[in-house]
Amino acid sequence: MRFTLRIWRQAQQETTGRFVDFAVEDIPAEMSLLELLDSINRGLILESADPVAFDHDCREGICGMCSLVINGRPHGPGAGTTTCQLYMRSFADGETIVVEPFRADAFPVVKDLIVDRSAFDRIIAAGGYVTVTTGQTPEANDILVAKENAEEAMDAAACIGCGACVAACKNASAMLFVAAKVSHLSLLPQGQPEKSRRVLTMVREMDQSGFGNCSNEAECEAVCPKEISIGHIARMNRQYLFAMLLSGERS
Amino acid sequence: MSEATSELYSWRASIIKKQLMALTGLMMCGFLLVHLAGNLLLLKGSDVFNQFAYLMVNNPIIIGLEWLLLLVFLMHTTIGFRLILENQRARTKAYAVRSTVARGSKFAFISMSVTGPLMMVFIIVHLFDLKFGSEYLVVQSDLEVRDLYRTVVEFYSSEVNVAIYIAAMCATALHVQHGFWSAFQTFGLSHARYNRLVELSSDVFALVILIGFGMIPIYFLLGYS
Repeated sequence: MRFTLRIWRQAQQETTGRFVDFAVEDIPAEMSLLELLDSINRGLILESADPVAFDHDCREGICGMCSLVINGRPHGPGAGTTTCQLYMRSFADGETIVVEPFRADAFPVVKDLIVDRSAFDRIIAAGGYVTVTTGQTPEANDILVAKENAEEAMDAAACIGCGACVAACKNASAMLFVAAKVSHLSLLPQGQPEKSRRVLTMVREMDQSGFGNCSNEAECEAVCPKEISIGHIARMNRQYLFAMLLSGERS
Repeated sequence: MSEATSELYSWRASIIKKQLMALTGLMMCGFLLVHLAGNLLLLKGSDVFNQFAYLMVNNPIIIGLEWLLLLVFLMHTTIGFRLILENQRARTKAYAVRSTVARGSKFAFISMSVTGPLMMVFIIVHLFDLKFGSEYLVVQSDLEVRDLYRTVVEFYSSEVNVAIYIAAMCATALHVQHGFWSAFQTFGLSHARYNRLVELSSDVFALVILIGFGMIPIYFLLGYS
């Protein structure tokens, strides 16, 4: 197969970037997009040019490292998959493929296609944890979890924190990510002690990081590689109001 | 995006701003229904409509509600503009290519931030066209009342005025179609048991607004007064 890759190149955060076209030929349909980037980079390295910087790690759709907005869609075409699970057979022969970094002021571009997603780490540090007692390993079935809650919590826990929700949202809102974490922990008995405080501190951190506001367009849900529902956002909205008005959490 | 604060929560938190938008939005949805019911009296002729208009401006409860409505309107618009600005600041570098796929808004290409300001301009113009528009007096059952019916009929005898009005109602219908179900989501009222019903109600509500408000000026334009 034959493609033109129009890739965003930006030397560093402070410089202005631009698109650079790479024409590639004889590409096998079963090659993944990231492998194609690898092969472009090999060519660049052989020419002693600067390779295209992009994030990747597990390459099996579970680590949340890969990003990229491909032809206007985070993680490219196809529902419920990450960029590393995207194969060239998904594109038409001869197609021009536009590859951009995630765009959000809370996710500044570090270099080329790599963005700084540490705002997500700060949100997790602000409240995305549970307190456990130290000592001997407790009996696994001491605390019972209702089947429905376990299922719903697991759906939310599937979030790999890739940031596609922010990239897709027209307001660059991080609500789906934060809601997935809040929902996951608040549905389980282990998450109850910090339930009210968690939603308040995580939302505070989210707001201070410069993400936009949710306007319920569900673009996040449509591109989420783990297909997390905006129903979790509703749960977080509800919990925030209750935590603010009814819980004893003050400062 | 509230300012850096050590407070655990704030009235400026994104979720609270959205919930205030939802609350004030729902209140204005209620107003729209009452307004529509009143407008439908236009179809009953001048006597009934003028009588109704007279009662509305002389009832202390209605006057109180009118001030409340003004407050609600100002809250919805100020918070709305703040949200638009914050959302623009959240992504200052645009994508070169954008493909939108979303189930949330059936008409995602026309967003709330477009229809909202359009509606705001329309509402102000609409007040000056009619409520503060031409004043005629008429004697009805030994009582001198404002002939608001005549003001309305005269105003909607112009095709241009009707066209602008219909366009504004299209914007309103799109706004409430997304806004109504959105308010439920924002308050966390989301459950598989009734989500479909809420979304359906939103569509029906938007259609009622579009057809209900839209048919009246067309009725007058066609000369059925």
